Amino acid sequence: MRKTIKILRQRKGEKESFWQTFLYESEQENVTAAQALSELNQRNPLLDREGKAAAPVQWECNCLQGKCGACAMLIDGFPALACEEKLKDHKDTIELMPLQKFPVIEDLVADRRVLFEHLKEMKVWTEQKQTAAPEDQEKAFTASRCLQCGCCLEICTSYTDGRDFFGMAALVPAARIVTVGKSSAKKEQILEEYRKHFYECCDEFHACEHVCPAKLPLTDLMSYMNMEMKKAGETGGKKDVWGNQSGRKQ
Amino acid sequence: MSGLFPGHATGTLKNDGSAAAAVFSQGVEFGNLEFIQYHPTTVPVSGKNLLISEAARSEGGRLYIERNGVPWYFLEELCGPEGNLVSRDLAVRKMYEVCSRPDCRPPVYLDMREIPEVAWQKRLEGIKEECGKFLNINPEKTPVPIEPAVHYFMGGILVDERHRANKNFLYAVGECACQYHGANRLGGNSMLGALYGGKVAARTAVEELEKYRAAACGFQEKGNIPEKNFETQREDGALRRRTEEILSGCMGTVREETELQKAVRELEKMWKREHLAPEERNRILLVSAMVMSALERRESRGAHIRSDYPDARPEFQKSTAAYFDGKQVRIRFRDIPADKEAGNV
Ligand code: SF4
Ligand code: SF4
Ligand code: FES
Repeated sequence: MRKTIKILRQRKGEKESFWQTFLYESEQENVTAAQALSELNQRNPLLDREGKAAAPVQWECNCLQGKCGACAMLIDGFPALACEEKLKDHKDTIELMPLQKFPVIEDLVADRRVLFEHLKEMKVWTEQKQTAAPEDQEKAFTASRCLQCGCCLEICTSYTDGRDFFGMAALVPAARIVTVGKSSAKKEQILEEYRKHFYECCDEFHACEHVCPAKLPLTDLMSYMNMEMKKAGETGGKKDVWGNQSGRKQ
Repeated sequence: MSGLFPGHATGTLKNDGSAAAAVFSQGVEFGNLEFIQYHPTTVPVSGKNLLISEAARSEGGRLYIERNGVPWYFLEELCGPEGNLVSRDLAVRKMYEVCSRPDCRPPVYLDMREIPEVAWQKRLEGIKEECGKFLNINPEKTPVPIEPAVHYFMGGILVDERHRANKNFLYAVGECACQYHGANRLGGNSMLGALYGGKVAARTAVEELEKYRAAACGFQEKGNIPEKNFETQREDGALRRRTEEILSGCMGTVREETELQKAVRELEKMWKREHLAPEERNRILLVSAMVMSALERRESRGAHIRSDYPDARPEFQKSTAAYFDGKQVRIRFRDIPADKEAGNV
């Protein structure tokens, strides 16, 4: 297989980015974008298509098994995990870009710390040991599978700078807490955060579900959260969140 | 430390062993470095090994090798009818034996074709998906070629029951610490190290906070590390590859005296080279400590298998402790502390 790989590069500490193109060939059929990047970086020297010496391409990679989310990037414009994306599913020229909704650190490495800041702000943790009821365990497990890769935020029509709307990457771990926090103050607090940082801003076009590399049932989790929020409102939670709340786009 | 074995380990690629090497070079004591768990059922993919969970064997997966052209389910013959369920170290040992036989042709295969449908649906869905996605194999129909790979380090930074290292205010938790496992590790027990150990270490750190504020910690500041240019990066890369070769040569599943000694001598020469980046020098030290620990343990026990000392010897019922005294790496044997109640947790 022969491919031309175009990479949007940016040096550390610099603002300007530039495209650099590499030629890639492999005998194997199932090469992933991650494998191609590793092989490029093993070249000594690494030359671009014009024969100019190039610095090794910086990209993040950790598990190579679609389990950690580190290698998320834009592949031909779509957010995906480089370790899962097969080159053969793409045209002869493939474009790799860092995720665009986050500051770029270098080349394909984006600074996604905002994801964790959101979880901190929403206090997505339990105060004491709590277990999900047997009927909620499957949901709890599903909600614990979020990779925090940020692909859902990248494609999201509502997510911008992460200041108000936190997106799916926050909803999923929050749902995990709700599954174990049965009728506790913790659950109410999380649902209130959910209302503020998700419910009032999501436009429900569900682009997120299409790109989630963990294939999480994001719509189901969203309706679960909405249902729990409604229940909390009915059973005398602090606010009747389902009622005349302002800010709900519809 | 899985980063010391790139391309031969199941662990994360983010780990390159430098953090462990940095503290080792500053005199922190490491225990049981020779005890490295190899997992029998892994498959090399680009840059690392993909793990096929033990669940595959427990649900009915069988190991075979081609002997005189026909599949030989060697574990069943060598270890009894339940042979496919033997522990990781025994499976690895047997794999090594059959692969060295002249009538057998590697690789070993993991045959999952007899696993019942319901087990695939209920418990092994992940394995099926990964084999399809990363290996392009449907394990329900086709046996998977496997090889052992580095999976877990039982050894690491020696800590006491409150998770303190031999240097003040250094606490180690999880796989980087040496505390709970001894010569082997049972699946799931790394959770013990991470969760329980994490809790204990956090508590100790909080308790020692005042003491820490009052005292200056004994670690050297890193100072300015010169920016690397392409050239030094490449040179360091070549050196790194050589240490990797040395390790995979002498610290594989089965070890032996002369190989280990040769490795120690070569590493010593490498360490004495001039113009070595500090990180590389530290890594060489840690690698030496690992090889020397394996050399000194002249017996076979758990995950440490020596072809020249095939049995466990009572005089080695001890932990190795490796440290750098500023001039050279030293190894000693420490008694295993008698059972006592852990700190007030
Ligand atoms: S449904 Fe749309 S707006 Fe809501 S989180 Fe998903 S992509 Fe974003
Ligand atoms: S919800 Fe999916 S896309 Fe979003 S961060 Fe989690 S795993 Fe990634
Ligand atoms: S490297 Fe972990 S998801 Fe790709």
